[in-house]
Amino acid sequence: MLCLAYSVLVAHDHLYTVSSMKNAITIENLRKVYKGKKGGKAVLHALNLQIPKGQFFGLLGPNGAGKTTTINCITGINSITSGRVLVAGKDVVSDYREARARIGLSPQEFNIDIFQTVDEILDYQAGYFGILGEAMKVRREAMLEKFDLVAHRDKKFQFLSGGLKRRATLAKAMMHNPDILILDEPTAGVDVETRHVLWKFLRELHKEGKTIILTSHYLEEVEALCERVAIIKGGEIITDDTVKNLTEKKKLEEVYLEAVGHNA
Amino acid sequence: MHNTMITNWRGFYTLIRKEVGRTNRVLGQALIAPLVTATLYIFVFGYVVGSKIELIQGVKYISFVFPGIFTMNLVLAVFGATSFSIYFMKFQKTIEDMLTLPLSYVELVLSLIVGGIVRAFVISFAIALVAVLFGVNSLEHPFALLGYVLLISILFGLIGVVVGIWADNSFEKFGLATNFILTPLTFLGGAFYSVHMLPEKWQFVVHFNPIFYAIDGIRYALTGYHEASLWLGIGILFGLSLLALYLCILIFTTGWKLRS
Repeated sequence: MLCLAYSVLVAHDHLYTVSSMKNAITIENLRKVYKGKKGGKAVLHALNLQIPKGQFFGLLGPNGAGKTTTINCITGINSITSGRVLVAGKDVVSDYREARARIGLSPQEFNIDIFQTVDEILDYQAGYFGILGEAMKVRREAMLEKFDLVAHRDKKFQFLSGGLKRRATLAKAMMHNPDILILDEPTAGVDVETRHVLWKFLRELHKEGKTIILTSHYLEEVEALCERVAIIKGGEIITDDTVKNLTEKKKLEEVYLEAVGHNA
Repeated sequence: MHNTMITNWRGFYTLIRKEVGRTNRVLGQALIAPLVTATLYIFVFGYVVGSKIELIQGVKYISFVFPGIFTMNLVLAVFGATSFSIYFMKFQKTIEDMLTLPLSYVELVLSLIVGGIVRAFVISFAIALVAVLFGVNSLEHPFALLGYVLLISILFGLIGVVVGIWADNSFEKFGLATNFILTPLTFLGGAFYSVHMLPEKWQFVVHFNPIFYAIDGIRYALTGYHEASLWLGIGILFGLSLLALYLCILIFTTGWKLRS
């Protein structure tokens, strides 16, 4: 009897692992409470989300809805109160190294050493992910070229303009050619030209089969790029569907405003 | 289990390169302060006062106090290197970037320690040169000196990591650790006197001070004279290093004061 129960458990676990392997990201009952002096503040309430491999996924929501907290729980910046997050089947807590190796992150707030040059930033990033020597140089030159940073390669991060800082951050996120790219408001403060260059690059990456998770307040950007969108409000997913379905009768902006309860 | 071991050697090497690079970036300011302090201590306690004092426990006073001055500067330098490194990472939020890397927490902590060790060796060498100019020229056990400098750097580098995380964005907490703990422990650890000069009950109390064993070990390496069991001292310094390493790994694993 015990053997039978054990076999069922193992089979269930195996099936679960197989299904989670098909997903780039699996979030199960994720709950996040920020501890404060006056008690805890729950930001995510039993969040469930599955993002298949290769999908271009948009995560929308008003400020403070929990978008960045969700991303921070996936990437390891935040601890998880309860629930679990898997990246390509790897648990972000128990198998954090394998999980993180698959992710490239461009965070909302810059978190780069301001005294490092663009070249150093890219070289260190490659090294952390095990890319050294000639492979590192080739990748660095490609990223500098791609993001039009060649002329700024010797400048320290602190002396770059806002747009250049964003470009350097994006180049850094892509330096190790990750399977999953997480972009938290990547085009905030970026000029129109760079935004279009980025869009083109993201489309190319998507064609290559990369999974891309994008948060943005530019809904036309999300509509133009994403296949699927989830809207989060008060720590819960309130809408989750393909962009095609959502925009069948209305523009994404209207859908979004209705979902978050904003009556213009 | 492998999450707590070094397996990403290339990543670990890059972290060390970055940390040593950061040390080199501020080497001038990192070197000048301890060098000036050490020179003043050697001049006043060793040269001026020392010329009026006869031998202490059979050792010339300047040679007797120099290990104390050397250890004090070593402890403060390596502690400052690692604590400020982690403090600065938190201040700049680059710690968030570090937390997203595919590196184990052991790799993260050890890279900070290696950065501290590099700084410790450069400062030690510079202070030793100054000491030679003032007539300190005894080096009885060079390999023991190397070993003690390494062990002391590891222990106080690890303590620096813990304090740097604990300090959050408060310089006051740094001051608390250096002014109210490290400096008094150094002065009370026999830096400028023999513990045999103390009343008997104080001699007993001194043996609970880890910096006493650090000074005693360096003094043995330089002059051949020591006041406590060397193996006991090494055991205490090594044991405390393991404890501090465990604490660092625990902090990174739980995310205490690192993750929101």
